[in-house]
Amino acid sequence: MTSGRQAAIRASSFVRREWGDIARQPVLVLTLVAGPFVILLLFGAGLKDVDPTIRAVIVASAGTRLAALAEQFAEAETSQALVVEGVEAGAHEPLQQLRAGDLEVVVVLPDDAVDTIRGGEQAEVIFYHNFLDPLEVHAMELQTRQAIQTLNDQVSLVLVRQGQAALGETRQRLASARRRAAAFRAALQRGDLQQAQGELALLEQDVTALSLVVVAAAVVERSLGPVDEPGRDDDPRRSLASVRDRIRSLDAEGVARASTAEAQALEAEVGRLAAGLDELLALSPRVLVSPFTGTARRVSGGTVQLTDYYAPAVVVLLAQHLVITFLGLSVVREEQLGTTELFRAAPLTALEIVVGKSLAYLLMGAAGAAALTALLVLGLDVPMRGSWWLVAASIAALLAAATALGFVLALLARSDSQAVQYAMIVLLASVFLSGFLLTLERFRSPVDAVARLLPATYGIQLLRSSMLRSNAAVAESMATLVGMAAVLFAIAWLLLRRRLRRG
Amino acid sequence: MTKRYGDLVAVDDLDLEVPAGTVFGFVGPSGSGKTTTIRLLIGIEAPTSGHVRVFGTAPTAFSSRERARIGYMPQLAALYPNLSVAENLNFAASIYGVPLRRRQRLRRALAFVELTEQRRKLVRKLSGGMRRRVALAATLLHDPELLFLDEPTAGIDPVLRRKFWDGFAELQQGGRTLFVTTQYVGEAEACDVVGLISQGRLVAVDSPRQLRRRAYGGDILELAATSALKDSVLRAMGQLPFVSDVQRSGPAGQAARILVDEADTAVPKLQRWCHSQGIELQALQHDVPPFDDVFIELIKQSDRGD
Repeated sequence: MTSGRQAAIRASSFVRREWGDIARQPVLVLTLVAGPFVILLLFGAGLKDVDPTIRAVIVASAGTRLAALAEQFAEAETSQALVVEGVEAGAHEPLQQLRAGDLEVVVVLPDDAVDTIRGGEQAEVIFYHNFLDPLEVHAMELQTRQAIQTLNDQVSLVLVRQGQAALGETRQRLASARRRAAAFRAALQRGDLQQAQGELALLEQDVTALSLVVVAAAVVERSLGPVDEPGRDDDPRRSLASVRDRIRSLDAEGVARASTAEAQALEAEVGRLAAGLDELLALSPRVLVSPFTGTARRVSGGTVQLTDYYAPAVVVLLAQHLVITFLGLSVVREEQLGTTELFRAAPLTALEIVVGKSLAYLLMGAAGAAALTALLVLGLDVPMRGSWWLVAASIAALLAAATALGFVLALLARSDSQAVQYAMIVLLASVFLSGFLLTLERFRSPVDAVARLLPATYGIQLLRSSMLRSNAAVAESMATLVGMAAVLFAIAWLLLRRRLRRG
Repeated sequence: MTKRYGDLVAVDDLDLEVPAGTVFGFVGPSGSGKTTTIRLLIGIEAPTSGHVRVFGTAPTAFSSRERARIGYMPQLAALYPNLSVAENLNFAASIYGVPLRRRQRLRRALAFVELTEQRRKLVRKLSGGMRRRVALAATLLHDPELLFLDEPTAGIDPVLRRKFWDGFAELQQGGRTLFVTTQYVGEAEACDVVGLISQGRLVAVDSPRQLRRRAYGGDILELAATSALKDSVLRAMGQLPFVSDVQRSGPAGQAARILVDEADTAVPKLQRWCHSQGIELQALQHDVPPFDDVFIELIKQSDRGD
């Protein structure tokens, strides 16, 4: 028999042995695979679609306009997310309720808002809360910002509406300017030069009165348009300048020499100016106050529920934990059972043991991950937008790196309790640092470097991408896992070789 | 060879040769250096000084082929408790690269240790004695020429121990060499050659009979007469050329312990001499002292520097 075939028999003996050993512990395996599925099932089924209701009380000085606005707001607010339980004049009682946990938020409006604003400063609205969870606090800060933005928008809206009401005068001026231009032309056609002179003077007054509105409109338009956009033909400022030039020219040359064509041109220019301003005045006040709205769209398409988002990461954590724990215990128990002594006496090499044991746990991890993935996809409707082959390749790369890491840790452990501790440390590090809960970008250096040493970090990126995106870019993470596996297997081989060293 | 672990001398200037085809018994108390010697002989450990040769090669430099010629049964039954007897044996065969068509070998090994009926039983459900038998079977599966068995009979009952030694004799008859360590000094009787070790030092190496003779300076005969033996008779007996020493024994003065060069030749000579002296013999027989006594005597001699 060839030595290669003998080596294959020796290495494969570990696959059969490890599988035989694990097969005798069905409850343990079932717990490891079915346990995470049941937890995810409870998580998915039990999670509410809406954010928890926030009970709030608004505090505003009695009899003020803000208090009236708060009352209106409290009556109008009917969403499940926010329940305004009342508007109070004093903050003492609501703050007591907040401390007692009967309220989530107390909003204190400023007593002297008008005076503060008149003094050229911003008036402060304070949102009191009692959250401990930093994520809740962060959400509260975002909601505070949004609420203040809404309040500011409402104030702006009122101002714009008032401004647009004041534009009635502007409209009258526009109509007047049109009439004057037409009357100027008619008087000129009749040869009534005195009348024409008078209409031109009145037209100039109207145009002067409109110039401020024209400039303001142009500023709004230019601030939203392209930076280097050349002046448009229907730019009201251009029309205004053109009208003024024509009036000045007629004044200078004398109305007596003016032709009907010139009068018609002036009338047409005034018409363009009026049309441009009409367009501006017709804009909705809400659009003027908030010209932009935002919509987030995922380029890969599809919706992702919270359960969908966590499901691939659970598969990764389970697969990694499974192989690290079982492999760790297996290697340590060899030492305790005395079989390592047999291996040293037998014609076994460290490479054969590393290959055999790794293959056993790689296959076991793959079986566990496949079973859980199938349960999640078929039982919890977790989407599978990428290809199954890509998912399989991702799991294989993850398991290779996790097995190699498990081997190294097992060879460093001196007892089974130490092996389990190492596995638990890797699991905890993976839960908190690998992107399972928070994205890697949230971690400062060098903590993010620790995250990048964990196979789960890349496994979660890979599996989330390959399951939840149809166009996953996985090459970098895949290459990192394969590289990590190669390096760790080499270390495991060296450590085992040292342990088995004869002589 | 010598093996030291820091200040501790586990094996002290050990010099021995194990003839091929023999059952070599390595006898000594717990902690005397037996296991260390085996580990040196199979190459798990290297000697601090001196050298070891097995199959003409230093064991630490064994090739895979040479390792496959050796069977090793460690003191601790290195078995997997969650696997059955047959699964454990299959694994043991595999790590030696035994081809997968091995049913016949397994059957033979199981029959040898009388565990055919228990082959499907999980090892964790076996008694200590059965586990030792499984471990022995595991050692034999790859058909090794040289077996190192480290205290194979430790902790098992005398009946099973007897069976083990019968099995070792069978293996020897099959042409194998066995190096067997034991704390049970009496088991040395079943060996072809016995090495006595104490505190890492080799006290003696020889056949059991020769060791006994070395311990007492010859063979011992027990003589019992029908009447009391006179002092003059005992002195005359001590003067005989094949007699080394005579001592009175027993309360009635009718018995004596006689040390002779060779019991087989001395008995008829002594019978004739007693007859010529008118001494009526009740019994004259070769007294074989238990090996425990032999071992203690040899240790004492070693300590005295004899």
